[in-house]
Amino acid sequence: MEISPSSSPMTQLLRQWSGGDKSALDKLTPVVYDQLHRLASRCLRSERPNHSLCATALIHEAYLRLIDADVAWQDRIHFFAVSARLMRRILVDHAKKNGREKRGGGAEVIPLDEAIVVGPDSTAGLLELDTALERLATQDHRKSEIVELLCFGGLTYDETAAALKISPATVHREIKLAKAWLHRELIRGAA
Amino acid sequence: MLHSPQRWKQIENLFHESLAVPAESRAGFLVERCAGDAELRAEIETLLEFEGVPMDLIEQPVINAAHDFATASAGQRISPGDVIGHYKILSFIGAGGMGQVYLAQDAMLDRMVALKVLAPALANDDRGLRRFEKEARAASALNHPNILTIYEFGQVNRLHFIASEYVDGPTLRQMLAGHGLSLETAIDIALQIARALEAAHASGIVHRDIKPENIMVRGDRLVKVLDFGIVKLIESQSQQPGNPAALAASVSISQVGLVIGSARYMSPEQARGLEVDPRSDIFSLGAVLYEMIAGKAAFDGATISDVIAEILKGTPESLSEIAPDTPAEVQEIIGKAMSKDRESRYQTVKEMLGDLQLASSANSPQAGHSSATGDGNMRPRLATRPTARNAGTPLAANAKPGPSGVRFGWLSTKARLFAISVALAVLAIAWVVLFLRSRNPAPPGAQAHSHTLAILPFRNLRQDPSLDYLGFSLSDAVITKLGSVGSLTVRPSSSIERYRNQDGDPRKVGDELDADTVLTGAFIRDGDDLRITTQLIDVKPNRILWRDSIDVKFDKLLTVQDRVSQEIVKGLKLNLTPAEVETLSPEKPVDQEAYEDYLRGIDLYSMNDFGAAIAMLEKSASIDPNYALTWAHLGKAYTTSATLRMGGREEYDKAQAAYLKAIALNPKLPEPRIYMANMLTDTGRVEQAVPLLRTALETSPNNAELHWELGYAYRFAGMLPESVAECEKARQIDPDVKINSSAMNSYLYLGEYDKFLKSLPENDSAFILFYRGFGEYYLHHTDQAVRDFDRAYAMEPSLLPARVGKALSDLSAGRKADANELLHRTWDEMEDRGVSDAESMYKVAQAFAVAGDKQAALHSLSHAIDGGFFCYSCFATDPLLSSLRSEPEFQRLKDIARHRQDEFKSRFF
Repeated sequence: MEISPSSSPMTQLLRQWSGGDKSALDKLTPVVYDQLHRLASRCLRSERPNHSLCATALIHEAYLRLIDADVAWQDRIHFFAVSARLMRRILVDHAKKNGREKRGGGAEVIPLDEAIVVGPDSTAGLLELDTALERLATQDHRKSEIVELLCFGGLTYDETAAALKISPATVHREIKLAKAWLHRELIRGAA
Repeated sequence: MLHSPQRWKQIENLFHESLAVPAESRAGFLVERCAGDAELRAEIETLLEFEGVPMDLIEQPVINAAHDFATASAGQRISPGDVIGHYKILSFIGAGGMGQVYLAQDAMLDRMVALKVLAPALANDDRGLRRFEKEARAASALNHPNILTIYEFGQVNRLHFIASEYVDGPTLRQMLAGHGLSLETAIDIALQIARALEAAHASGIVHRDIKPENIMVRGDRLVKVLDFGIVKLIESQSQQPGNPAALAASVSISQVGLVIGSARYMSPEQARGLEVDPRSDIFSLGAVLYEMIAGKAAFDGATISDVIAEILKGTPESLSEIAPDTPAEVQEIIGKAMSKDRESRYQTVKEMLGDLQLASSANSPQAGHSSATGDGNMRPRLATRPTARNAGTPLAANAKPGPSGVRFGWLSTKARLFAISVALAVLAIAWVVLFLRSRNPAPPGAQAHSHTLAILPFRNLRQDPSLDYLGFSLSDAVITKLGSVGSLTVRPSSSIERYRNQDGDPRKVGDELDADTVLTGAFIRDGDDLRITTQLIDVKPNRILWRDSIDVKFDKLLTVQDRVSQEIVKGLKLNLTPAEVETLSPEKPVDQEAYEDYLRGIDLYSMNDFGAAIAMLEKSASIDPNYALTWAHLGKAYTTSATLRMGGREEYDKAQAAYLKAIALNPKLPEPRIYMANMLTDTGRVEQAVPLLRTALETSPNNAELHWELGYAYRFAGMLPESVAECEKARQIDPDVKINSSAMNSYLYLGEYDKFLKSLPENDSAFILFYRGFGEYYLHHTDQAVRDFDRAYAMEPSLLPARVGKALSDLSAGRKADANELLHRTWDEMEDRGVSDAESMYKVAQAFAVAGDKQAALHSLSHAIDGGFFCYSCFATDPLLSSLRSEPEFQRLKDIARHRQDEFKSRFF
């Protein structure tokens, strides 16, 4: 009944991508898009969505589906970490593309048959967050990694700690400053 | 500003130290620790300001984006069963400029609403949104019968929506569908639009987007104008008004495909991007009235710019050429309303209303009455004048290019690229599906071979009557579970019922049910343990494919259906789609007692003990209200009880509530939709039944009962060839589907009597005997017909069809008084009960017509149509109605039926 648990090409693709093979991204992207859609519709469907639950549990679930069930726990953490970067990369690309289309102007008209309407600001703020995160990385690389894993990857504190080989307490401590710093940065940028 | 590593370390330490200090002492603490380093103090203070303040973007960028993905891909991601606030989505109605529209149920007030979910591009503009909300509220405060009532303007998560009155009827666009309307209808609709505008203008609201898409016409001809104030929101996003190109470019992309629709009815000042006033609406109304009469738009073109150029400079083709019968005064009204210079138009809609009323009374056979507004129960007032003028109107050669022709033609290259990039998201999903499938490659030929499976009732091995109910209900549960697998045809429970108390020989069963595989099972209970043995048999070589014995604790009964279903899938080496995998995954736990009661309830229903079935299912639902199938079967039991046991209307209401609950709990389940659609059709709501079934067919295309039920609905609406096609498809999937039903009545109405007779099963129940006699009767094989009618009546004298047959038999033998007495008595009983389906009323009307009691025939015919059997196609040709054909009242009824059938057709085909 389960989908064949034999070797999943996803694992292979993620390995290739984290090993620097850019073409693997083209194949990964649609899968992540699909997971985003699922994630989204499930969140919308619940009457009182618990966002943090959605973020962690569902993203987790999404990635668990993508990789082999028999990958060792350490490996899984590694994959989540790779996935977090992948997710960030894809979302930012998406936002950039939207931005370009918006600036391009013109009659942005598509046939009704394909009426997938993407709002011009559908990933509002994401580019700014990405830039701020880049700046944070130059100031304090580990903090930006923590944000990436927790927020883009939906990893738990413990998993983030394991991925970065630091203690969970350190994660707790560092994320506080990282969030406050990012928040301030975004507000200042907007002002 | 970047800090040195040392400075950063200092900041970090001080930040955490400050956090450890109570908030009220922090200021002092920082002054002390920063000791004159104002920059450091400011840095820490500003960071502390943001500490612990949640920001969605940071906390869950993925979720944020995911929401946008969902709302961005709009309707495709909101599906029946979803809950938005206190609204449960029932079905998709359509896409509009503002977003997607759904039929939803307001769980709080228990009423149907139309839920319009705003396109995110519009909802992103906060100021625009507020302005729009204000206008929407103002419009709703108008409270005019011709203006759609808005109930609520709300937001859940990042979804903005408008809940409004649900109008059961087509849009004017659908009614037009490439042809004009009769003059009376056109004027009547224009009058009602004008009344809506009059009320709005009096409150200072200009509609700005009067067009056929924004006008709805209810079944009783009451017109509703939609979308007041909405265009303003869109215009607010337009930065450079003033030239057509800028307008076209700046209209939000959520206007996709609709831009041209709106453009056709714009006033010249609107097209120029100038301020608009009420006179702009007058122009648009003129253009709509023109189109209703001419059957084509006053101003048209292949691109928005072409349309706008026409509006600014062109002159519409003269109505005296396109529709020469149009009275001069009507042409004058339209001409004045569509003056390019607003100073030359009607200055107020009231003036135009006055002229329209004059024109209406001059042209209406019932002088002085245009249809009143606000009376929902009023009888349909129909144009009685022939519409040959309009029907014969040839369309101009260049008019009405098809939708794709229009849209592709005016796409710029840039827009095409955009469309392609946007469509990538969709392609990606398709890619994923292929990808998932490719992970589990099908063995060659496996997909091509489709299995047909019969699941026999499980045998109770120990003579333990208290467990008899499991025999049928467990197999029924597995049948339901496997019903969603496309590559497998499962014979329905109704066809395996006959094997209830016998040891079926699998080969014989396979033969009888035309199944290539048969599942047999048996169970035995020992204390808390239940052992179930099953075997799957390939009947052709009579080979056991798989055998299993399942031991479960009695209180884990629910897992049996999951386990058996999964083993069958494995045993038959079926390839499942991801959706099927999801449907077949184990059920959410249901309370054990509730589940047992559910199984008992199904068993009782199958033995026709409806009262006991209701009690048992109600008990189950009260213990565990979250099991969708309980509600579906409860609804069915209520419905059957209402129909057969004279439970009356309240039971239909209860049934409806139960079905909705089931659908809300599990939107993908076909059963509640099938049962509910049947009830809706029988109770005169076929327009609601059709979307319910069509949605279900998207997920379960191989469900015979769904096709059958759709065929049934089409029959009531007079779509006879379509009805036959659906029923044939159902029979193809499952030859036994609804074998003892009114079967292929559509054949009868189409005059294909031989095919009709062939479609009947070979049994001699009273019901089937009547239908066999009926077919013979149409073929003038009167002796044979009378024999069958008399036998049916002797068997079940209270069965309605049997009585109709008896009356026809009496009439053939010249016993007119007997026939009349029986028919009148039957009709009176039906009126008393008030729960007969409309097709049965039609049968009584047929018999009255044969008896020559025209008055009674017309009376019952009118009730049949009112009750939802508006099969114009059969009224027009049915030989049994020939005595009525010369009656003016019959013509009137026929027109009503034709009108409803046309409306249905334009809405669904």
